[in-house]
Amino acid sequence: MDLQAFEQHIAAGGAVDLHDPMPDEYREQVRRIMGFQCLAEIVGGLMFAEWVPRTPGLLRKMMLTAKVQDEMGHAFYLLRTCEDLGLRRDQIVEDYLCGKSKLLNVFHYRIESWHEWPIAALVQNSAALVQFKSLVRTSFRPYARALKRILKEESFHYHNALDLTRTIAGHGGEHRAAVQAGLEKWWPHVLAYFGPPDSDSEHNRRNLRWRLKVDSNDTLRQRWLDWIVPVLESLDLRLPDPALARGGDGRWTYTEPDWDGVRDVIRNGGPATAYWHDRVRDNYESHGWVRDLVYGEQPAA
Amino acid sequence: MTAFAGGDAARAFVLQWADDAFVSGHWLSSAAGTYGPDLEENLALGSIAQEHLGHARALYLTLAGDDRGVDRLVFLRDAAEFRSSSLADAWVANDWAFLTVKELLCALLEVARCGAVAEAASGTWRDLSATIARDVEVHVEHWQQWVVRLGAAAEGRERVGAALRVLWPLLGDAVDAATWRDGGKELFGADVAADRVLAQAAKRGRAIFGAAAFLAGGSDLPDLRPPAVASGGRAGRHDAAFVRALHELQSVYRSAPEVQLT
Amino acid sequence: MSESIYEVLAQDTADGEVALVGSVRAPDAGLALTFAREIFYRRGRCERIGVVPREAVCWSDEAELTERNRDRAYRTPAFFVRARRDRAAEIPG
Repeated sequence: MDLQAFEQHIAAGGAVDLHDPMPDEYREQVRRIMGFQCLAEIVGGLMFAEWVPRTPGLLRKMMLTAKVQDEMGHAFYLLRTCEDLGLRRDQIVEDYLCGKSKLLNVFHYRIESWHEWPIAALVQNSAALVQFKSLVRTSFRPYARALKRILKEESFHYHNALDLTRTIAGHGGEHRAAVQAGLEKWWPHVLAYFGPPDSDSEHNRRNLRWRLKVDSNDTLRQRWLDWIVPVLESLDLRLPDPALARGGDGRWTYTEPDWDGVRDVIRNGGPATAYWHDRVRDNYESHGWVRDLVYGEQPAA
Repeated sequence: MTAFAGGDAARAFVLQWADDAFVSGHWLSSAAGTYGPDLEENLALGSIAQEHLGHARALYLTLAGDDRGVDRLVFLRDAAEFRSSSLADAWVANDWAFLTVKELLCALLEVARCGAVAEAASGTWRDLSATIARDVEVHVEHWQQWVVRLGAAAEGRERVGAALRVLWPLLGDAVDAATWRDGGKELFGADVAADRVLAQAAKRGRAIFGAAAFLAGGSDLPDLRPPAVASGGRAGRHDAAFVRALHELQSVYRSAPEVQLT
Repeated sequence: MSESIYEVLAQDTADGEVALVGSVRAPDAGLALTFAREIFYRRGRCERIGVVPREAVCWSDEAELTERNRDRAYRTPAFFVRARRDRAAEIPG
């Protein structure tokens, strides 16, 4: 397909559906982005899932199971579309297992105590919501449809996390202190989750031109701060960054994440990189025989 | 919520019922967020887990009155006070054949138990057992589909056969004739006949597994009879893996029981 | 791959239409139906849900539909309004 005509179509607000003609580079890039998010849902889901067995309340245990189930559902919506675009689902997991796919910085850490769970979920869910609300205007319609479904469910996750945070912090004393410590741990990771200020690289310009990215990283980060700062204040939590302030122009200033450190974690791993990797590998590989058995050899029709 | 209307036997009967659902749901919910065997199935697991836990909650509520009371039952009893069957206790991480066989046998027992309760009871107990039976009959269908699928290849038959050898005898130990008889009389005015429940579950199990011929060398599934006295988990005897799991699942609650989440 | 993909059809409400809501991979129609139910209706209810093997669906050539120039204005209600207005304009005086 003619790239120039395609770009004109997108620039004029046009969109692309699964069976529409599209340039190979575009198809490749859509697949990459969706596969990447799918993986993030699988590993990110695991981060919260490992606390389900220890959830201290039967009704809460049901809610957390529902949240974790939704995360797998989100991975599923994205994965089915990747498959329709010719990317095998096994490839998505295997590229991660062999180290070819890199995960965002937040997925290199672990929630280390129950008190960390709700606040980690709160800041991560709100950040993801900001990102997805922007991306839902993407040019690739199947991606937009998946994101619409995901947004609806993330809203339940956000309110679940908010309610749990409020309930636990509300017990005061050591409980509030532990929630505060969790916020301090996750704050810089989530601030960095949106990525470094946009470079003027052709790669970045192209994603914006093709509407596979809608807003700049800094715009999203500002939107997240607009949202989350008042929420944290309403919970009587201390904002972890003394430099955080809102200027007269409405823009937030904050301590820049240590971008070299963030890049290093993404490239070479962080405290829990090996742990998540091994968990996914154990779960995935020990069920390989089932997938081979049911999908390996199709009987003749 | 009114106080529980029944004596010790009634209480013991309901506790067995609730503990079965809770323990099965606990194990399944621990598997629902992991990748395996495939994403579609993980989503189904998540729903079945929530249904088990929901059934447990409904049953515990009849004993405890409210969610805080339910949580005290779940998180403050020691292993020896749990009355889940050894079948519900059984778990092997990341073993799909084992999970399939275990869930199917548990579901068959549950449907049969609900049927017996529905016959003996009236009013809310009959409604509750009908609700549980409706959900669990869908689980039976689900696990049966997997047994048929796995049975279509030699490796699947072998793995299912191995799990069946371990789990089938536990189905027999999962009924507790004395408690079900006395508990049924106290609660419903009619006994819940353990031998009939077991016969019904075993008959369906035989039909499903027998048809797919999972046991090597043409050996058959042994006959099952209700044990003379409560056995295994029904007598509060749980294996080390269960005790470890219970310790883990109660650890956060017990570290700060004052933090009530409901 | 495509031989184990099932399209999922569902009817949300009794007075609503059946629509294609997504797809699942499954080894057979029975499991496909279970997966469809759990994936697309795990929160709420629907009236009916069904699955159909992807290769059983015949899709039209989309270009043919969108590019076909079909002037069927005479079968829309607006046509009568316009026609009356045009006639009124023709009456002299």
